[in-house]
Amino acid sequence: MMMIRGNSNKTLKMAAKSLVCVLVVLALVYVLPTFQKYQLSQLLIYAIACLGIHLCWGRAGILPLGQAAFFGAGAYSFGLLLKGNASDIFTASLLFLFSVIAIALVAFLIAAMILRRQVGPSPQFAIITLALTILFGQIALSWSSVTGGFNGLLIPVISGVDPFSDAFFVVICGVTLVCYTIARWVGGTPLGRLWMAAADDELRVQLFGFATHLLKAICFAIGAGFAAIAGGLFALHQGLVTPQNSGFVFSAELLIWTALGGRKHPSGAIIGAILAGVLSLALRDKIIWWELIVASLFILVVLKFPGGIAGGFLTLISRYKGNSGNQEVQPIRPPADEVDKATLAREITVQKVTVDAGPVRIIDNLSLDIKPGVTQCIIGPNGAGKTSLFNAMTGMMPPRSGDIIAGTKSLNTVPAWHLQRFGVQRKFQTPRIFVSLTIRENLWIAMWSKHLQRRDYLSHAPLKWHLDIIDDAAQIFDFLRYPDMQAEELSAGERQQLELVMIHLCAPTILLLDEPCAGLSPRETAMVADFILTQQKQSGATCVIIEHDMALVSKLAARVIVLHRGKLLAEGTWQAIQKNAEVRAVYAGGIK
Amino acid sequence: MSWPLLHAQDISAGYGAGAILRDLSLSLNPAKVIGVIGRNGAGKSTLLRTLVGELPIDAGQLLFENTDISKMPAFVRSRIGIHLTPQDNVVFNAMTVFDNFVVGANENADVTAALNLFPNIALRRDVAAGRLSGGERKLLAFARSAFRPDKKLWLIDEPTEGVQAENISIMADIIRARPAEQSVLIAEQNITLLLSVADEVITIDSGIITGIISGSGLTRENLVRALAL
Amino acid sequence: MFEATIDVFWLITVTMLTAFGLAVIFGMLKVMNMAHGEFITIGAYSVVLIDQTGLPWAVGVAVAGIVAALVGLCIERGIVRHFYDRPFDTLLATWGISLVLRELLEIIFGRGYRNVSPPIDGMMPLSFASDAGYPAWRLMVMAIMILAAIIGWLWYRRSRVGLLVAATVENPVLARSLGMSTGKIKTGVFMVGAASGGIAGALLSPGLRIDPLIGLDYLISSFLALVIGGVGSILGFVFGAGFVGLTNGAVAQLAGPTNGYVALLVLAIIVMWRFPSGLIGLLQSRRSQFQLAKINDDD
Repeated sequence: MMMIRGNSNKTLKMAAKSLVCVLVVLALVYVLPTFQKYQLSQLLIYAIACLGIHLCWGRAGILPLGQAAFFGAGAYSFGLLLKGNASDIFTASLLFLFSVIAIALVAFLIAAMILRRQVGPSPQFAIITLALTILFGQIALSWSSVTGGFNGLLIPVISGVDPFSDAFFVVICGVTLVCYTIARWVGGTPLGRLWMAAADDELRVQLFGFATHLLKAICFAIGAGFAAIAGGLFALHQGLVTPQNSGFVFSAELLIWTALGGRKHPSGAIIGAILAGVLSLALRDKIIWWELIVASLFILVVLKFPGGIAGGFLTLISRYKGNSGNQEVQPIRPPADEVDKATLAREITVQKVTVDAGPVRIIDNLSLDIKPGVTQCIIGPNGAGKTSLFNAMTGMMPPRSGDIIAGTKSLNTVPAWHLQRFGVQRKFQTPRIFVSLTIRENLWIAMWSKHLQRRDYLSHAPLKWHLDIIDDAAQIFDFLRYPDMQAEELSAGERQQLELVMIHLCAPTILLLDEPCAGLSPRETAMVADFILTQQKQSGATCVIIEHDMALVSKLAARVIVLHRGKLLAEGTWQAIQKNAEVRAVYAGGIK
Repeated sequence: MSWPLLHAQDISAGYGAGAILRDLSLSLNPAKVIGVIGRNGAGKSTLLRTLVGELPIDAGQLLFENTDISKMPAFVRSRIGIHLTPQDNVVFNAMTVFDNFVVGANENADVTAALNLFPNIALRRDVAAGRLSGGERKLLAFARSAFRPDKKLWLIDEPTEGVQAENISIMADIIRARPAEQSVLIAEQNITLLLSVADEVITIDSGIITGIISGSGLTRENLVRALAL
Repeated sequence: MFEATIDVFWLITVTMLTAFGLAVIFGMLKVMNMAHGEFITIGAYSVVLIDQTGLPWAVGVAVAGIVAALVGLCIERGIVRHFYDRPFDTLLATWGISLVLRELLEIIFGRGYRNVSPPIDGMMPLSFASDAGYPAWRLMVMAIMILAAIIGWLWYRRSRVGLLVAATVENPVLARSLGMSTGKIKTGVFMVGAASGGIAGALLSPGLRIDPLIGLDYLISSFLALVIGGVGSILGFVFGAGFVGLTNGAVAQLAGPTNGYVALLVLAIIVMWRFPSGLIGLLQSRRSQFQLAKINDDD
């Protein structure tokens, strides 16, 4: 019942919004004089390019300093394609589409190649995009035989297309609305959520099994596609493309407009481009200081108000409206995962592994077995190499020599997103969750790690997925009952618990837990310990826990491994370890 | 003096990081050596880093010589006499051992005395500090701190990690030979060192102080029990 | 031929002079200062102003350094210091600042070109056989740069201030525990970077058509030098600046100035993609592995 009502509400809302848009456009057509429509078209064209920046910067955490390169590429390529071919609307549209898709593909390839080697926010990639736009601008300037050099490329006229006509204006409005809708929609899909999660903590997303460089490359490609669309329309609009439309000064302007309007929301791109454009046209000649004011506002926005104008409005609206309340959606079970059971590992063998960090030897010819189906604790004084061992197991600190084998696969140089395939999940000492997302969305990402298929990335079905274990966990951990709360508002202890629940949602066969109770109160510690024990009994997974709290160790561990200075000092049951003289000496400070 | 050297009242700190201090209160008198023991993650380092100003205090008040220093920046605290020998990243890797001492002393000070506190270090005087072993770096940092003038409160975070027994006893000698009024707060898991220098030992767990061991109670058995092994 | 070689040296000198300030700020403070070019422009305009008063060029150079340092002080204290841990935001904020500075310069000086006459006229004869010569003032600037580099290097290596700066840059927590005011030291480093830009602009001013926009090209070439050579080491800087100067000179003479520029851009992109620590970083790959290991908490 709820579900059906929810759906029809949604459709009604959309219909109403579309109607309003149509009416607004029609109103503009009748009210505005021809030249104003012409100018507004240009601003809307810029807005389309800014939408691309919104997606990259506001969603995926990629700072695109060179969008003008794709804008210019769109304009120049469209112009060049038109030159050689017939000039009717139909052919022109096909050529337009062709050039946009080609440019988006090139952008995808470039981004995928470069981002493959980067984890986390990458100023390097940003600078590379800047270098690309400078390069493109220079080529546009110098390769005069093709591009017309400084004077630019004249765009052939297409019969039936008049940039000053009402029809052209309506088309521009339409394309803008379509792009806006796409941007808005994609942000709400699993892909969009994954972008935001990767912007928060890319490694964490990778450990959930996602090749984030490809996901980010898709975002970059869409952004480039939007810029190319804008470029092509610009070419038609102006009849001329010059190198100024592809250099880094223009790139910076696009960025500034997006920032001022608000990078986090698609409406910000449109507001920014239109407002900046309208105000510039009105005030540029009247106030000498106009450019100065814009630049200062930009600095202010970057430093203090990252949400920009749109962000400010939306915060006001949400405060006025209050909390939107829980969205009642009928939960559905995710499809059975199709992971090949044969690749799942249950044990890890460490063979003569040595790990160096510069001149310091952190792990020294270490050999040990992580036994399957059992909870084992790794203990040892500071500097023993415990977290480093986890790092080596998860590909973050490749060993200088030796092998780490999970099941039958070597983990030495495995990329982080393959670990999920082997059933390995890791929990970090300082909790790593996605602070910009809600608790519900955090849990989604964990669920998607195991169940998301290719066709689901753009579907809304995965937003309804729910697993029973979440309900079980909500009995123990209170905060899970408020899934629409921002993860940012959780306390440190709650973040630990959330991360723990998230990795359990992946149904891992090997859990690497690094001090899961660090910073928790005694009560929280007990809750977490019980949860770990219960889950392990149910699933029979292999659990490896780094701990310092000996009370916990005695409670949880079937087996204890003691590391000291990168070597294995002792292993056995907790009782045996307690009696071990060497271990006591190391801990009680006789021999150190 | 009628007031304690350092007084921490209901301090909460370290929010968002691993170990958290919760409503921790502590009083230190001049001329005392206080040990702090607790398992890793209990809050020892967090406590020391909060006292010295590297971690902000979320709640509570910190008084030094009856002045409120809760918001005082770290480098100013160092200049008024609160000095920390940190647990890790204890040397400037790119500089020689000698320059490490120079940078920690006043201008024109003669650092040879500091250099000679530990024989191993004196021998490596022109070696880049990054090339020393872990234990040797701890010795360097300890000697540099010992030599630092005008300390009123010396905070030491696990100085014996990676250090050999004979050097640990030199450390104990240095602590005992300090100026009379100077106080020392030393976070350690090495019971031998604590027994030889500490007047009192505080136990800390999960960000709060769980006990004070002093006087005749300061025995190896009690300390081992406190470490809960 | 001889003249061509000196020309290349001149280009390398120009690159080194103009990139040094950015190397200091980017290398030591990890700030991508997009306003770097404007310090150079300010330096050039300082000489323009001093020239109008009739005072000697050397005064102009000194004033350039001081003015640029003061501007740098305002920027660091006002904006940059609050955002050292946000690299994207400092990049964008300094870009905003560069826009503001360019606009201010345009408002004050207008858009037209200015010129400054060289401090020494005439050509220095290069060989006894022919009349070939090289502008004397350029040779003077090259000599100044070499001298300043040697003195600066020795001073940094030997002085206490040099030690304090190295300490702050490497390990600010440890530096603070030893009583160093790391905030003030960082401000000082920023001011030195700014002043270097100003002085570079002043030294190069006789050969320039000075307008508010000259900074942009220097910004790009400085970034290219740093990216290709590698940040954080003198060797990297020298190599990068040398490389950029050489390419600009040699390739330009062989294949035209545009192709030289394009070649540099392509090379920079490849280096940024594959060798993020610059080409010098290749030799020091062990250091990058060590930084890789500093990922996680304890142990």
